[in-house]
Amino acid sequence: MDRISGLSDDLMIKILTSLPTKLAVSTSVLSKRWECLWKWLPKLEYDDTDYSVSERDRLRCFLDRNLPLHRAVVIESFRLHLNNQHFKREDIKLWLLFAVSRCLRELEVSYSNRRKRNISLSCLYNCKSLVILKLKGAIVVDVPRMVFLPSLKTLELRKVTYSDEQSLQRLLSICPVLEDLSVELWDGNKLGKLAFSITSLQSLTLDLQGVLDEFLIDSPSLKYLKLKDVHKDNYSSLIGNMPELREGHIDVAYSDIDNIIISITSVKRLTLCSSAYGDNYGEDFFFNKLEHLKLCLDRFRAPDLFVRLLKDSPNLRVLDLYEMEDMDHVDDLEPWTQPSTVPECMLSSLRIFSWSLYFGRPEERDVAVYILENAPLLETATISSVDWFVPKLEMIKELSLSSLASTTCRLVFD
Amino acid sequence: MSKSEKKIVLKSLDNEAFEVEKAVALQSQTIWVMCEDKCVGNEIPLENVTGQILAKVIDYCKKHAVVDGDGDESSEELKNWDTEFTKNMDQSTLFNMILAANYLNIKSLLNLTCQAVADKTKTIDEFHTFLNIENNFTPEEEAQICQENLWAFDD
Repeated sequence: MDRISGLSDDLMIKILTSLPTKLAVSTSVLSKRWECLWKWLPKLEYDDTDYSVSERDRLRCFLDRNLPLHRAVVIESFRLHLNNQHFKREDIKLWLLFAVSRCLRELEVSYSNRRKRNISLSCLYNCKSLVILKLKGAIVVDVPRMVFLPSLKTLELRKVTYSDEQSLQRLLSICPVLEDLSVELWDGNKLGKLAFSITSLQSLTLDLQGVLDEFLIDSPSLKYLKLKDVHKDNYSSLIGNMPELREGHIDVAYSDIDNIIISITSVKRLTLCSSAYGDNYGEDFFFNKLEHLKLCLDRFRAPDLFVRLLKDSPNLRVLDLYEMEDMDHVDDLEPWTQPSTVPECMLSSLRIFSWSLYFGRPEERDVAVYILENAPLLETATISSVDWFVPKLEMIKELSLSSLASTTCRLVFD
Repeated sequence: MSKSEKKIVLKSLDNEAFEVEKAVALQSQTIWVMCEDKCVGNEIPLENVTGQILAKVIDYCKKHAVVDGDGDESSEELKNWDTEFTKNMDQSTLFNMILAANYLNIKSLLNLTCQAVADKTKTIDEFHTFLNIENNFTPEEEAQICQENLWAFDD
């Protein structure tokens, strides 16, 4: 007997589990020892991307025939990615019902079809074993009454449909131990108000697409917050205190984001991109733990704003400036005036400075030179630009002429 | 704890002795249980593992004991190290590593080596060749299996 076939079933199933499901099933022709092993696979993944009509037919026949005969008692993960109306909604429901009946821990379903006919998966919302649930596309979230997801820790909803204004809120209310929530809305959603008040929540990612009228985030255990909403400038939002927050990514177009900023001052890492920040930056923020700041420049109409942020962040070690690759805004920066005093972090903690998509405008050059000349502890400074925009040699000449405050700083031009 | 108690000796099937830090060896659940059992002295005999394989297992455990993955950088570095570790292993070594990881009950090493087998076999033919599996089906039997699971065999 070859050596691999002499391994125990458990070990062989473990090796099979690392393979894509289709390849794992095809090992059934290797030898008699292998014929039925795949039926014990605890992880199953089916994806019809780039399938022809006949391939879809074969997949449908395979699932209809084999899922009821599958032997694994526990299904650790079941992933179904179907991009076509070729699959009947009734069939999909049956397949999921099978998965849910096997102590399912992780479920991922994405479904799309040209007729935009949504599939309802109401059998899911009472699956006691489910820990991870990810839904995407033409799926309608319709939470029945008297259901409960007592183990669910990770929930991801991307561009799904909600049966009514309350259904997302209802879904959140039946997940008592939720830790990681990610919601991406789309313009077909009508949800009015939403409250993310989840005591156990540690990570929250929201892409709101301007859909909500009002929202509340009151999850005091949050460690990670990513908030994106660039389609709406006027907003009613309330954000509670988040003393545990370590990482924040804020990309919004709201005219007033002070109430967001004040709730996230405990962060160690922060990415900030906001067109509104210019007019409404409050005076008394204090980011005493902030070590890594990434600032998007092209929505900052006033380039000196970042100096105010630096002043509020006395322990900053890494500063990344970046611009979106959008040439329409190239001329938008306002003239830069040097601050009267150098921010504390530049003198005492800033080690790494990078600028991606440097266009070489005079205001930009002034900012770059100012940092190079005033940060004595700088270890590396990386300036990346588009070659055709700022010829490399010219950039090196310009910036090398400035007298670097740090004698050991490594200057890199990409 | 005295200095000598912090170290233990692992003895391979072919009588090769390896002195290692206890914290390194205890990543193996099997060794952990043996150490808990007071009857075993400072020397632990591992009857299913050769010296050549044990040396590699110890390398792995040392690496994973030093870096305990608290920051992004160290876990990234550890991942790269793992990839390099299994990259050039031939079938026979990889195999023995799976057996050893299973016997010593080191879950992360077992996952890593099983994944490495999967990574080295992207098609059923590669699986066949790499693992050197002898087919004991008649052509009729084989055809029937293919027919039953047509989806898995369309190319």
